[in-house]
Amino acid sequence: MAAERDTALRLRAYLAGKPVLKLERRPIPVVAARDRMLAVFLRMGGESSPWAIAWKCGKSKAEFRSVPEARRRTDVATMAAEFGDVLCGHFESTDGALRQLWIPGGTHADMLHFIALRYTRAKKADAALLPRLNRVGRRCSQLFDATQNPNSALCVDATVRLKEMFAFPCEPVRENHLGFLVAWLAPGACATQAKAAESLSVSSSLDPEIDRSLVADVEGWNEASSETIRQRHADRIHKVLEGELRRRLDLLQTALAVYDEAAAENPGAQSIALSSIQELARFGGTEAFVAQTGIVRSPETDHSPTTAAMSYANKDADMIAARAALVPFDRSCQEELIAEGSAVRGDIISVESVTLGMRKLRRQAVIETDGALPLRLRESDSVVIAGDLDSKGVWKITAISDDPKRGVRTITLLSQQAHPTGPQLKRGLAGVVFHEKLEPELRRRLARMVGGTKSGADDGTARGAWILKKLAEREPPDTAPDVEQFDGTATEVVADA
Amino acid sequence: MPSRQVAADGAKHRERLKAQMTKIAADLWATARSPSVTVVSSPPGAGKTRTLVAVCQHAIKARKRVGVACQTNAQADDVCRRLASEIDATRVCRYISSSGDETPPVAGCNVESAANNVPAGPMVVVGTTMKWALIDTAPDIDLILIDEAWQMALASFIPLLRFSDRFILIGDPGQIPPVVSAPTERWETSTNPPHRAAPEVLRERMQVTRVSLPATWRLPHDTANLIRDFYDFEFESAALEGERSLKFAAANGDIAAGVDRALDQLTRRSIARVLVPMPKAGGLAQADPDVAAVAAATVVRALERKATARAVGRDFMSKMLKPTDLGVAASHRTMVQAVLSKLPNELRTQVKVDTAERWQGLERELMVVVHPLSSMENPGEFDLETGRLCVMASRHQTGLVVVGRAHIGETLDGILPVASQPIGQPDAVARGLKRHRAFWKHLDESERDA
Repeated sequence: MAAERDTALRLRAYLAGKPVLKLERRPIPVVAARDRMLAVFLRMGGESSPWAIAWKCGKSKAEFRSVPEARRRTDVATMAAEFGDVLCGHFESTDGALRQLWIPGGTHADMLHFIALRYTRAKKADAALLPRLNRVGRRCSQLFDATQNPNSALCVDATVRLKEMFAFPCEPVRENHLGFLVAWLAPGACATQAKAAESLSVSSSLDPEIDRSLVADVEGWNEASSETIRQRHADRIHKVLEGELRRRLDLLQTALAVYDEAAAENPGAQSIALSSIQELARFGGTEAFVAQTGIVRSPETDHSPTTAAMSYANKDADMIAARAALVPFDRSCQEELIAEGSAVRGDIISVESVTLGMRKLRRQAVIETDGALPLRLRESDSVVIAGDLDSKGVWKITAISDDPKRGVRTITLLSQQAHPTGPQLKRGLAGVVFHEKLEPELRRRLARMVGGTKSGADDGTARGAWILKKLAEREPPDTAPDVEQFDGTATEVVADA
Repeated sequence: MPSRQVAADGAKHRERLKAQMTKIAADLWATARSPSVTVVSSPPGAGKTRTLVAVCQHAIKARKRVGVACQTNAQADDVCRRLASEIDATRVCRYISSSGDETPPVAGCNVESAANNVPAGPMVVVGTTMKWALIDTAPDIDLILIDEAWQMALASFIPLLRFSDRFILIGDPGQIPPVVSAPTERWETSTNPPHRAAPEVLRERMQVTRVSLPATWRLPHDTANLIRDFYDFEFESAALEGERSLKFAAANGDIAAGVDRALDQLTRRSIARVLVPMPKAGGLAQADPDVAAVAAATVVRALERKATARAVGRDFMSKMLKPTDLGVAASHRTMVQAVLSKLPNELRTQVKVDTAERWQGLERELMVVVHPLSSMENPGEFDLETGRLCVMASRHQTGLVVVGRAHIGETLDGILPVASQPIGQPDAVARGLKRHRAFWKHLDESERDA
């Protein structure tokens, strides 16, 4: 049904001939210009590592860096370290404000992941370079994780956010092109303009023709007989790459502005901002731990059963927390839950006080909803009223019955408190939305209990510690990067051991 | 009806299986006397709860305290009722959350939310996995038994390690894996993927005692053969060939001939199929009204024709089916709604129509299932996951009618599986495709034989 809602919105966009808003409110905060950094990446065809990087912090001018040969890992590492210094500096502000990194799309997020994989656990490189590389690796690992966490606003993928905010009059696959989306969102836009924008590459890959046009200069640079000739080739390569970076960076800035103006911020976004700031603080703690112990979390996966379970439970909690923060303030989010069957909208048929057992007083409400809509909620599930901001007025579903003749579904609810919080229900009240109780705290508690098991295993109080030990055995060999002499002149950093 | 000799063979067969089950429970208890992890794999309807209750009986007899972790409150209540029928109800404690329902699931059963209030002495303490996972201190227990363990993710199992050093995990590996709502890419290559079913990870990562239950008591003989491909261990049916069948009154009236033909086939074997022709124009929708109509018509027709189940070795010999003895399963909620809308009003509240997920643990004499690939001409990874098909094909005690669009065989033949799984992980898509093809081939062959 959620897919049907998506299709209906897309059809509405087709009818309107322009994108239509999917959400009423913008779900994540857009920080002030001084607190945000923009970054875009380019890579050479067939290579994974960055060939060129551009960034822009606050209102300062954009910086463009490139290496003539993306296969020279030392040069790439030096460029990554320089980018890393700026990136880490951006997030290490001590003023307690939220800082953000904006990237154009998924391939740029992949580049963050690549930097994390290559440099987080690099062990050998130039002594001055190595700690800087390790540091940018760890930071990129955090930011890549943030792109996949709806409860984080640290790293914002502009394409994902625009797709989430608007329904576009196009096939879903075309929505992965930021240029296409931004063109549609320009005043007076039409399909022709969007199609033209779509023809220009905005990912970290270059248009193959541009890539090919640089082959001669790259070869020339490798084979140059003098430094002057080398520099000439390097300048030509940089000029082309800078042009490509600039176009992507400009597009990203436009996308950011469009997103910022798309709708008012959902008040729940502040909760996401707060959680992102806490995430930054936690990262500081992790950095101190790394400095003290030298133990670094793998950017790839968690093999330790407890680390994996804790991190998984926390991710689950983040998913729920983001929903819990946004749903109360945005009717579109509520519609989404209704379409999924995790919420119902109904008219209040009756409300009365009932006595349970000896002296337990409770409120009982009966609602009538559309019987044709799917329903995931079942008897004994807990729900809250959409307007109940602290979600403390909990109601338990005690009965669900369908009346196919009238096409309605009747749901009986019993409050879990004598005087439930939230909007007061009274007979005749129409269109009240009850949604599943979103309890991120339960998942956080699960993560803490897994942590408790780990400590219990260490101090001997966990009786099943022997099982945990068995699970933790047979770890794969350390995949830390090794050293390789690439060109005989420099110590290379290699991650693919 | 089977001859006296066949009936005697059947009785002997079931006695042998019962003896095996008794021995398994005794062995499980013996193993659990020292720190151990035992994983009990069970085919559908093979007596998982019966085994769990039998182990608890041994524990109570030995004056021990046992914890039972169930996956839902409803399952926990059901286990309490089953325990109370076999042991003194005062030796059973339903361990609830602080806001949980304090009504005892069965008379005499204790209900407590705090560890220190759980009565002393031999006791079976039954709570949900989440209850056990989220508490700081647990009642004193010697062993934890986990019911429906294949629905429990590793992340939920780990906190239980605080409270015991011996575990028995019982479940059905053919069922739908645990519900995962968070993205899991990060752990797809982990040696301890926290989102995967705990018994699977434990079996892969450490030496566990492996036990499998010998037979399905629910499914008829030929269905057991059909679904064996879904499992990595051997099992049989407690019913011998010809011991279960359906009987229908003669067909009359104007209804799709395919439905009557399928019902007639159920008089000779337990599975039949109705193929719905492809629409003349347009594509297939997830909520397919034509298929929904045929599924609903099958239910209506079975009742009209006075479907009667006949059985040997069960608590009845012949039983005319009521609407509550029938059920319909589909993969998607939209299809469930479509089937419901096609059923006559009076049947909607009596015939259970639901998704495969909701059918887990339930059974009916006659099931009608909408094949999960019916509306999928280009099935994806989700569609080829066989847990749903396995659940749907194993809820019936006597007869199963599979309804689907006519393209399914051709679609299955045309799929070229792409190995999209992370390195080191099993190729679930190819495995799913193989099982789907085997299932469909079996239906083809049964139809040819008919």
